[in-house]
Amino acid sequence: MANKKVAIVACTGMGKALGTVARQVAYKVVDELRPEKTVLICIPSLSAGVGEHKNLLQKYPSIILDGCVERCATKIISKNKGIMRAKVFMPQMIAKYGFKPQSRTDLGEEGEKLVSKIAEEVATLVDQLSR
Amino acid sequence: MSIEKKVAVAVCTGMDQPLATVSRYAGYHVLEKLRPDKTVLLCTPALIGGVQEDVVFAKENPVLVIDGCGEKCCKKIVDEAKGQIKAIINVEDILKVHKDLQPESRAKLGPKGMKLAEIVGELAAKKVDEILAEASKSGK
Repeated sequence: MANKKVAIVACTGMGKALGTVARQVAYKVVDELRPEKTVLICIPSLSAGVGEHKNLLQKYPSIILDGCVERCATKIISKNKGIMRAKVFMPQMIAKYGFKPQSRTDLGEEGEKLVSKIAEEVATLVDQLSR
Repeated sequence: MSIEKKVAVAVCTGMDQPLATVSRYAGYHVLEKLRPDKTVLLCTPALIGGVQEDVVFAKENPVLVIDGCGEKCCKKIVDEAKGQIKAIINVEDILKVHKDLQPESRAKLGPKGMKLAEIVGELAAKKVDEILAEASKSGK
């Protein structure tokens, strides 16, 4: 039997540096840390009805990476009846680790450290959910 | 007294392809460097999520869409939100003209990808000027 995969959904917002953090965390987990255990959900494609994103969301448990209090990723996944199993909120992660991203276009050294720390946590969640 | 119109720039923000990342940086280039006084950023997930500020701005201002590829997801999303699209730029089309500027990856564009983003940003800035000139002419 094939192993269960986990869907990673990141905010992809552009207004704040935290959107960029969420995006980079998703890439780090999906492309580097757990490529064999994850699928990446693209919010614009999902909303535009392009590709298999909706099917993947309804097939696999998902981890939501929200960038700000608007929690757009959570709202969008809820609307699409995704199986939400964990949520990671970027402002809480900043408070936890104390690293501050430089800007929305350039995360800087601290922002990159923050991405690595959050990505490690998300990878652990992936391991738990894919068992 | 009149309130000066601004152009709302909506960007693909997709995650699948490097061209989406190019469109993202092109959006930042026009907003932060080339036309900061004439543009506002529409946050695509916020638009989908129904964040009022973004929804209202898309309806009340001319919108420039920067799509990453032929799927035109951003255009579809702005249309769905009943935004007033006045111009569309597709990064895939620009790459066909600048074939040597292939981005490195979706997570990191590299120098060539960043150059492509700047070129797209410059085209977007011209579109912003055209949209505002047209709006001024028609008094809208």
